[in-house]
Amino acid sequence: MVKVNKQPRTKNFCDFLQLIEEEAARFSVELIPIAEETGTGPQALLVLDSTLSAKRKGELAKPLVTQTSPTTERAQHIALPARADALAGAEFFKDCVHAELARVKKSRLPCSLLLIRIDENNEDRGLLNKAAATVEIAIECNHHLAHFDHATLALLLPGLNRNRALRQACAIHQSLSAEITARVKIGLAVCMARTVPAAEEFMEMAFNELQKAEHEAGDIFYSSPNQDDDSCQVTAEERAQLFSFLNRGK
Amino acid sequence: MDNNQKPQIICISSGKGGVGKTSFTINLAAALSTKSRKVLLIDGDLGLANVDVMLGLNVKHTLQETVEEGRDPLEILVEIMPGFFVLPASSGVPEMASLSYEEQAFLMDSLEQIIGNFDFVLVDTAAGVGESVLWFNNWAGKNITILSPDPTAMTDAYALIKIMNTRYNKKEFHLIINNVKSKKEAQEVFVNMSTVLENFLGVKPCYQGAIPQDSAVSMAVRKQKPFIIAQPKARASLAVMEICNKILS
Repeated sequence: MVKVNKQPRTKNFCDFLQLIEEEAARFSVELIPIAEETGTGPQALLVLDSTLSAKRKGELAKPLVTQTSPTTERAQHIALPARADALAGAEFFKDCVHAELARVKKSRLPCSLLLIRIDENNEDRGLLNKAAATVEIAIECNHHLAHFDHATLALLLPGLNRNRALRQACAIHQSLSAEITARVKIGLAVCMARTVPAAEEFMEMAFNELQKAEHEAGDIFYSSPNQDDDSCQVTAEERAQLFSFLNRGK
Repeated sequence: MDNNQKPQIICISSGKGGVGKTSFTINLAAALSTKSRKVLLIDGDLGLANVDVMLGLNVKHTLQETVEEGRDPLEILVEIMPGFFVLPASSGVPEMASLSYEEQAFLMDSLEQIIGNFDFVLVDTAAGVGESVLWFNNWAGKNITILSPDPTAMTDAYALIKIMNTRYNKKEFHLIINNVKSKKEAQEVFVNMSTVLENFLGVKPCYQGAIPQDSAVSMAVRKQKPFIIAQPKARASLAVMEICNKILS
């Protein structure tokens, strides 16, 4: 956690915060400007590892609130936004993907990536922003949502395997269909621990799936052949062999 | 304490519940500590812990506080006997049984901060194939699967190994056959399981040992003491010591 305060609220301080924001954009962190509701500018900036739980973030923010506001009454006026204000851009998102893939190697938990295209022919940026707002409601705090291109949102789902990511994709598709009238197509790529691609490759995999979704009948597409079966169901043949020694004595 | 050593992390799982994971893990930890090894036993059944019950502990702090409040695991440690430490978990806390991705990562980091203080880290996992079970198994350098000679225990042990192999690319598994009538029965179960694992998964498991049926086990559970301490000459105790020696060798 980085705390920046005890500085006069001058233009210099704002520049200083902006400098930190620019530097932070290269890392998988979440920036939380802290300001009084009635104030004109931020008093402090929390830089938190974006993988921390909401609960943990709250714990870390708590003492800061106490320090910057000696009285309880004043503390009540300090606003802690839950997420960064705007969606991250493509560069920041690529860093997130890179960080998550590194984590997959360590934790061996899978990671999924959704590319959500909102009517490619529609040039209205407002439509994409409306879609982003709808998607944000359906996702959890450790999911990363960003702009991918002029008509596409990217959603990184750490820890989600194929089935869970597909369920999430269906839920998002349903929400979007209810909220906006545009055509919605979703491409899904899943990274399993046994084969972790580079960030660019992983994004390309999702993009290829999206392209297929554009040209196929379904709205959600997932087809990667080397990942299509991660089922571990114990088969009838396996059971038969497992129990064979029990039946020998009969 | 020197925090630079690399301990051996051993995860003990079974798939099915009631096979004897917790009892074996406690006794293995006690056995290793009698051999002058410093052992940390983590109760990996995070939401329905039993290690504290089996040891008659009245714990003040649990791993729940590490996850929720960031409490240092060193403050939670309970010393059972010289060299044998336990990290207790909570009981009846469903949230702990289904940690989020971030909470798992945070817990893992917290544990990694302290394990360097020990020679062995034993994890007694929950039953089933929940995420914590898979995560602890993946974390460990050595995976011990306990099974008993009944179809459900064998199927569940096989299913767990299949998941760890298929999804996590684990290739080495050590089997312990618990509650057997004879060494011959243990060998039969092992050979059978080994054959199926080789045929379908290409996995060749290692035979880690067998623990015979022994009334000393249930008596020790009621006394809330490790049976290798309560009845060191019992057949089950000798079997655990044999497994302990095998691990040390």
